[in-house]
Amino acid sequence: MSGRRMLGVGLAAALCLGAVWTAGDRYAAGVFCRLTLAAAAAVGLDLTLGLTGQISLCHGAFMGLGAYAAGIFAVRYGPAGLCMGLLCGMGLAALTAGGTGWFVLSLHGDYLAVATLGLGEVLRVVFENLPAGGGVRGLTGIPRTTGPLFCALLLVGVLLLAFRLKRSRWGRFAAAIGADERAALACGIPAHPVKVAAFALSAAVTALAGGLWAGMIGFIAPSDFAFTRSIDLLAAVVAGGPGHILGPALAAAGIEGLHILFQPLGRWQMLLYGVALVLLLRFRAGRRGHGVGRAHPQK
Amino acid sequence: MELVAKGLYRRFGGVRAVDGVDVTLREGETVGLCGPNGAGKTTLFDLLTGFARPDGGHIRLDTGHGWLELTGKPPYRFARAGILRSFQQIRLYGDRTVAENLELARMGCRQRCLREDAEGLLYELGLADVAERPAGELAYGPRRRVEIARAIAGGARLLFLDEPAAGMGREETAELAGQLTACQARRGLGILLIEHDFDFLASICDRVYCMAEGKILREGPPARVFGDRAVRAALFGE
Ligand SMILES: Nc1ncnc2c1ncn2[C@@H]1O[C@H](COP(=O)(O)OP(=O)(O)O)[C@@H](O)[C@H]1O
Ligand SMILES: [Mg+2]
Repeated sequence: MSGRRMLGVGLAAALCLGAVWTAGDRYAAGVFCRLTLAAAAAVGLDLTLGLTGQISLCHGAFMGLGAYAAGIFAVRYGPAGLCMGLLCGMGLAALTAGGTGWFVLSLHGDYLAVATLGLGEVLRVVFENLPAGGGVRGLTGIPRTTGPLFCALLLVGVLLLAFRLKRSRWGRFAAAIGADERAALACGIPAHPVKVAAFALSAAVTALAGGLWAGMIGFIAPSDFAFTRSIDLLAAVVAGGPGHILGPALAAAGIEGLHILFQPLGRWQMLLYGVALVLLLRFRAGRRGHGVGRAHPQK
Repeated sequence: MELVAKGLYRRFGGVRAVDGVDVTLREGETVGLCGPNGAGKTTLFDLLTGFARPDGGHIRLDTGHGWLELTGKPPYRFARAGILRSFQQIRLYGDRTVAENLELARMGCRQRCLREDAEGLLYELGLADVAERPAGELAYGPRRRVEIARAIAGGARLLFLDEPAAGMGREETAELAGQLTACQARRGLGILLIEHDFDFLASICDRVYCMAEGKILREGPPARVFGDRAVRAALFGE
């Protein structure tokens, strides 16, 4: 136990050091924030995909929900508005996920994937048509209030929350549902409510990361939170090992790093990125034999 | 406590898997359910434990202080009311130990069964030696018994066992019958179990239901039901 704790403290210290070290340089700070926020968003997704085994193809959109809420509030009310926007975004994401989840989370596998894909597209259209959201061109002039230290602290907090949850009674219920839902029901575990709660919480955490993203970059557009963002997050959790929390966080930072690395390549970027992703997943799958754990629980 | 189901009906496409069935099960009695393959026994179990919604009919529980309406409720509501089950195809958490499997049911059903009782259960069902082994490593017979122990650890008052002796040899079946009756007597459980072996049913059941083509064909004491011509025709084509 104390070994784990030391690892945790070391990790938190390293993150804070990294934040302080990059704070002076604008480019480095930007890179650091993008990596940590992508990691936090992926941990958010891991709360549903890793624990209860529910696939989601709309977490990019939940990130966008947080970003737009924070962005719009910050543009209107300044830095104090950002805080309000963060809370609002989390609430909205939790409500959207919870409400939709109540209907779709009884679905399994491919059906659930397609249903969440639909929700993601609906949200993207909403972002494009928000009165104060700047349309497809996006929202500019968001006061840049969040820096590396904020992002580092958020990631530490999110990791802590995730580990706590995973070891709680509730987390054990969630894991039991992910491993075999019918067996969980036979143990008296309220599978549907737990899945809905996990989905809502997961959406809120990812939205929080999105909100800080808006406050860090200062500019957001609907295309930032389109399907490809959801795929990035999904790939990160799958590659990092669903339910392992730290793995998905690292993988998400790695994938975001690839984006930054390949950015100067213009239109070749997505091609190289795609190849890298395939190689990454092949490597992961190879090491674990086959499959990727609980992403597709059998019914 | 008594579970009362009336007019249960469930179809799959054109198949009437359960077709107007009345069943009761009260604490302290052991009841058998037999019938040919495809008669609808497992589907009836799914209905009685909340794993499937009936297309018609209702399920109520007489708790001793009022009726609890269970029709259309999710399985965990049944479980938390004391109605627990095992599956025809064993569903355990194979990578967790036997004790952890029981612990999960204790937590899930809100700990109505004490920890000491859960440990005692493992003795009663002959599982004490394997309590710390992963459930997936056990042989078939012990795995079946772990599923039964899990249901009781969840605080079962009414226990539904889907072919608990399937795939067991003569000796093992006899042993299971002994263990079941001991558990049942000690806790005053009501047990409904699906089984094909007449001798097994006759040795432990107070009464039996015989099902065919979704309907209850006969109900009564084992000797009378098994002597019935219609029952023998349905089961053996005699
Ligand atoms: N999930 C299902 N989908 C379609 N048909 C089913 C399903 N479950 C059971 N059935 C049908 O319902 C009938 C009763 O099945 P079942 O309850 O498993 O019988 P038993 O347990 O008595 O062998 C069978 O004809 C079977 O094919
Ligand atoms: Mg059956």
